[in-house]
Formats: sequence, structure tokens, C-alpha cells
Amino acid sequence: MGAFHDAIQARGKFSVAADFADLQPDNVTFGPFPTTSTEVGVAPRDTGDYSALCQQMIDAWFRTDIQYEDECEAVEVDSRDGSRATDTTPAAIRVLKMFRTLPSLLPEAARALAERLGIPVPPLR
Amino acid sequence: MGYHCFGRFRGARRELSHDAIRRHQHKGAAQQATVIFDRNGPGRGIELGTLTFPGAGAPGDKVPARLFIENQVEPRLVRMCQAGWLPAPPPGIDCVENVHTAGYRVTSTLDSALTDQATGLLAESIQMGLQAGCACRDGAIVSIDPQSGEVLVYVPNNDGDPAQRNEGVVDIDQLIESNSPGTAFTPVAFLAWMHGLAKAPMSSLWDTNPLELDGRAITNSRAGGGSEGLISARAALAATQEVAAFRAASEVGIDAVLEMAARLGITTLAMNFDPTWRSHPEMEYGASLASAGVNVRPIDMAYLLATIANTGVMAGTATLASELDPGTLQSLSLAQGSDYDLALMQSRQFVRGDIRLPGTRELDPIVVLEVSDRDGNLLFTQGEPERKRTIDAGSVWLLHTVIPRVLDVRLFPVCRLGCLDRQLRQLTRERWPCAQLCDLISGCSPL
Repeated sequence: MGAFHDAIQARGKFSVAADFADLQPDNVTFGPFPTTSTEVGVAPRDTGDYSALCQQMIDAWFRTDIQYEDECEAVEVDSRDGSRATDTTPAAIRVLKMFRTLPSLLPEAARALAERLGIPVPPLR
Repeated sequence: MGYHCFGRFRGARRELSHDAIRRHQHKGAAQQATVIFDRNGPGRGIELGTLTFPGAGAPGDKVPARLFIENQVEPRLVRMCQAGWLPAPPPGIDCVENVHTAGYRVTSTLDSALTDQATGLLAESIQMGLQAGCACRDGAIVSIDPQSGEVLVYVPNNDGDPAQRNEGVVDIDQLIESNSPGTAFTPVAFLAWMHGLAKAPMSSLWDTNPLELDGRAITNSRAGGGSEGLISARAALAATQEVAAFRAASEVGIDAVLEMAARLGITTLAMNFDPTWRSHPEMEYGASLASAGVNVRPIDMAYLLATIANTGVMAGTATLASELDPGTLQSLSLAQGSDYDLALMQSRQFVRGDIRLPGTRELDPIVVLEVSDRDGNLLFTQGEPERKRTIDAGSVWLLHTVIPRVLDVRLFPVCRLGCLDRQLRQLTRERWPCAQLCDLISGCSPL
């Protein structure tokens, strides 16, 4: 707390509850949550292997009453070169792969960053 | 270095028409000043000041109390009169005059002792900063009890600087001036993003630092620059990362951010609305709002923090204000003649809280607890505050898991706005005296 709060607390104006568990609403929980975060302290950042980024789970707080959107999207690719499958791609070599979705704002900047770090993003072609 | 901490217009001043003054002069001495007390009320409490007619506040009143009366209590009493919450004025007298002459004994919510203490702490901290080379001279403190919505502390300016007192600067009520809350506004953008797009603190954003758009670059202020790749909202918010904040606001849309701000208590933010009334058409907001914030009153920011601290429940009392029709807005820098007069009137009514933008909060912080007539008969008593849930408690809890300091002060969120000069802000980030000054107030990010 800041000095002001220390001062008014000393005057007995309020007390601070420990860890605020008493305020926790029913619709939040702490548990495994899917995230594509690559920040420091999250596993792939340490290993540099982002191949399983779309399956990554982290213990975190989240709401239990809403459906969270997947941060990844499934794209059918040609297993030979990783390009997008087309109408002419034989079924035997089509593979459904998960990629981190690019943003609508400046997607090219995100793609460049992904390529630099090795984050799997949907192939252009 | 130039110093521009102060707003563009002064706090609301009651201006009386010639007719009102003439009526007053003819009515003789039957009138009696209304006296405002602190929260302990008449008899036991401290007299904060008086409302006389004409004029607002006795000259000898202490500045913080006078500005609290002028800008919070008096407008509230007038609206209460107009709404019929107080007895109707005698014929020929309007509510403004009535409030000033009825001899009311008003118990306000202000805690005099705490306000004095806050005033002293602020002055002391600023003095320490000045001695250490931090050219920050002003600040303001307001404390609102989240559970009751009562304004307990109101320090509208640094009352301790003789230089400011000589310049009349202390007369400016910074708590109602619209200025930039800086990164203190960032939680609003992330809350809008999480709430509007079904995201959680560990949902991630592309940290494309620097983010170059329309010829300018949004850059993270983290030491050494760089990028986290995909950064969680939790990390971005905790470390106030500008690129992620910009992307969050951009993804959910600036209208959603403005709507969230309004929902939580901000009264001054809307497209093509200038709360200073200088030029409404020029007022456009973009996603940079998320990390810089603009045009926010500290008292509104404190109410927002109080609402967040109260897990999304706003406590207070009905505003009793009229809704402003944006179609009638006039700008002081653009209008002429009668339109200019209208702009002036609109700006004054807005500063007093008499008119509000559509879609802004329905409740106000409580400043009046009781009103008695001159004979001691109780005319009004503030009952239990109204409570309105503004946002799902779960969404607010998620915010609390990221910035627990807001919850740390859940019973006493306060806000300070000082060191507003942009260049000065850059300097103060690096200098401990100013950081310590910011630390005076929990619940506000350092500027």
C-alpha cells in the first residue's frame, strides 16, 4: 500500500483482508487453461519449440460460464511441403494442422514475428 | 521546463443573473446562509464552510473544503431541490437561490481529519520531490468508499505550496479537470477486451514491437525493447505493455473501450465530445487510448476504481442530472453569438454535473448525508446507497488476479493526477523521488 493508505489504515478506517478469497465469485476458477503465450516463464519460450503451442495448457484464472475461443485455427495442409491443401491435393497426403491465428491488424507484422520465432501460423499458400 | 499541469478552465462557479441579485437585494434579511459540516454533522462535526447569496463559500474557508462545497455539495443540493428531494422554494425563488439562503444545515460525507491528513501527506511528498529535483508541484487526492459510494477525502490541489497559493493556482479543482490518467486507464481497455471478446488473463496478443501504423510507432516501454512473441494479457497488463494494449483496444474496438469506461463511471469520454468544450468535432479517439488515456476526471477515475474494487458494483445515489443531447453541442472555439453563449452554458452545466452524456453512469458518488432546516428539522437523510452491477463479477475478478493492488485498496481507492507534462512524465519514470510521490497513492499507476 501507499503511504496514504498506511496512514488511514493506522487510523482504523479499514482493514485489508488476506488474499481476498472472500470476494471470489462462483463463476471463476483456477486450473488448466489453453494459451498460446510465448512470454518468458512459459514453457515453449524456454525450449524454443513451438510445435505444440496450440495444445499448451497453463494453470490460470478463467471464467467457468463462458466459452473461450480457440486462439488457433485448423488448416488442411499438404503434408509434403506444408502448403495449404487445394482441390487437387490427394486425400492421402492432406493433414489437418493447428496454427496460431494471425491478427486482423497488421497480420504481416505478426507473420514476420512468427517466422522469426518459429511460431506456427497458417501458410500463405 | 514548461509546466502545464493545470486544466483549461476553472472549477464551476455559480454565476447569478441580474434578476436573481435584484430579488436578493429586495428580500431583506430573512435569509440565512446554508452551513456545510463534515460527516459528523452539526453539533459534533467541523464546519467546512457556508453558502451565501450572492457568492459561493466564505472567503476564509480552507481551499479544499471550499472547492468541495462549490463543485460537489452545492450543485448536488441544487439538483436535489430541483428534483423535489428538498422542499420546494418559496414563490419567486429558484433552487440555486433557495439552497444558498434557506439556512440549511448540511452534513456532508467528508472526513475532515482524513482530508487534512491527505492534504499534509500530499504537500509533504511534493516538497520531498522538489528538494530532490523532481519538478512536480501539484497533485490531488480523492477517496471514495466503494461499498457506500461516499466521498471521504477531497484534496483538489496542493494547498501547501506558497508559490501556487500566490498565483491562485490552488483555486483550481484538479479533481474535476479532464486530463490524461496515463496507464491507469489500461485496465479499462483490457477489461473491455476480456469482457467483449471472451478472453482471459492468459489469452494472448501479438507483441509486434514496434507496431507501426499510419506513420507512427507504438513502442513498448520495457527496458531493452524487444518482443515477447505472443504475450498474455496478464503479462501485458501487469507490465503495461503498449503494443499489447493497443492491439487489445483495436481488437475489441474503441467504441467498446469507451463504453466500458462509461459503464464503470467515466463521464467524459465519447467520440466527438470534448469535455473542455473547446472543439467537439476534433475529439476523435483511437486505440492509443488504451495505454495513454485522455480526458478523464480524477474523481471519475476514483469512482471507476471504487467500482472495480467493489467487484463491479457501483454504489452511490441517483445523479438527478439531465441527459445531454449530443446534437445540440456547441464548441467554444467554433461557435459565435448565441451559439457561443450556449456552449458556455453547456460547459458550466457539465462541470457542475447537471447534464450528462447519454449512456454514462446513472449513479454519482454520495456527498450529502443529511439536510436539516434552520430549526433542526430533518429534511433529507441519505439511506442505503443504490447499488448497480456494471459488469460481471467474474470479469472483474480476473482483472484483480492481474493487478491485485486495486483490490488491496478495495475499501479506499483513491486517485492522483500530477506531473502531467509529457516530458516530465518521461523524466519521473526514472527518478525515485517522483516514484515515491506516486507511491503516495495506491490504486493509481505511476504517471
